[in-house]
Amino acid sequence: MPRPPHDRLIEAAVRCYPTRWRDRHGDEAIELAALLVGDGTSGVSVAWSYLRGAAREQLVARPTRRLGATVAALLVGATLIGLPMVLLDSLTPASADSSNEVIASISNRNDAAGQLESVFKLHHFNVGLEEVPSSPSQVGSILAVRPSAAVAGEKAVLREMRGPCIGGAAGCIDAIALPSRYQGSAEVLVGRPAKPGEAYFGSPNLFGPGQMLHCSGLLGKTVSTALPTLRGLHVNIVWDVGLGRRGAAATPSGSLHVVGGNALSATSVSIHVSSRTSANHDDEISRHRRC
Amino acid sequence: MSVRGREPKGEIGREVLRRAGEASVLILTSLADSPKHGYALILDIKEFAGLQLGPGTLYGALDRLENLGLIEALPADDRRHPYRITSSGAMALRDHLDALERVSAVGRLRLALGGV
Repeated sequence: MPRPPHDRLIEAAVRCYPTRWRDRHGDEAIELAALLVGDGTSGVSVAWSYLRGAAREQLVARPTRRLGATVAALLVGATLIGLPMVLLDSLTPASADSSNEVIASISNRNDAAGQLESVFKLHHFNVGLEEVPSSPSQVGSILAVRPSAAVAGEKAVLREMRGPCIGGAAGCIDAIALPSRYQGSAEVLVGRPAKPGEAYFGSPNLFGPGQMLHCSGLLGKTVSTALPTLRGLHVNIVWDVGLGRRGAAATPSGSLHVVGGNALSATSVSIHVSSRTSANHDDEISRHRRC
Repeated sequence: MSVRGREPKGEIGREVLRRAGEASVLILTSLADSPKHGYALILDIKEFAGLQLGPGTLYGALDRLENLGLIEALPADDRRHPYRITSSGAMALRDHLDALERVSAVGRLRLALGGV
């Protein structure tokens, strides 16, 4: 006797969850679905509920799970347009996760420190929080994790997880995973809006995700080519023409190449220039061009 | 730089539960008298609240509550994991219900005074 179509739909939906979730709940979820359908609940609504749950799980997870999130979205779309179920069987997300971890994640950038603090307190973790001035795209994300220097190896067990920055660019840290029995101490620095003129914590890479010149195409260009765009930022530019020669106010030779930069504050940036690009610069420029 | 200050006692549990969502309150309420597994939770919540939680919503809320230390999983009974409310969960639920009762009392009083 052929299986009802909703069975396969439910199974496909459950496969969209991360591996850790399926290991934990998968069998029970299938059994629960069968009980609900047996009680008269629509199989489609059960599958839909699992699909939404899977999408939520994938979206709050780290970037390595984006494939799964995409598959979940595809499944939703495919289901809506009636794609044959046999095709859905081949769509299975690949992801892995470790168990016995507490994940403190940020879902509300306006209350990032509060959200993390609640989790740390509930689990009695000796983890302090400090809010530091950051660029707008990094407000409400984790800028640094500082484990206690007294306990060796702590850094390795505090796993940073990346998600989108404000504005949509990928690469900001929006969660931290700690072993559930974590006994060490640490301090987590979270970005807050900088006051006018206040220096950003850590002087983030000006060409990094979410920053002013991310994907601007200026890396590797000559100063003369880049200058109109840089002037259009309406910020103070500190030119860095090499080790020990940072801080030059005058515009350097137009034939030099832009090889990097830092966001210093809302009104000030440093631009690194060089007569030729090194292998490190070439890698950075290559990454930048793939934006 | 600013360092975050401490919150008053009772605020933490309420705040955590508020963030965890409405489904979490229903689940904690259902678990307040005895441990239950997923299907039993759905049936119980449907009976006392008139709402049927979707299974995806249920498992999402169970994971959140467990991560927050408000519930804990008991050893699996066949394939089913029963869950039990923890003392932190009971405290958070009690705080939350106290707050709801205060809002409820004020709301009823003002409705009566307003004559609507």
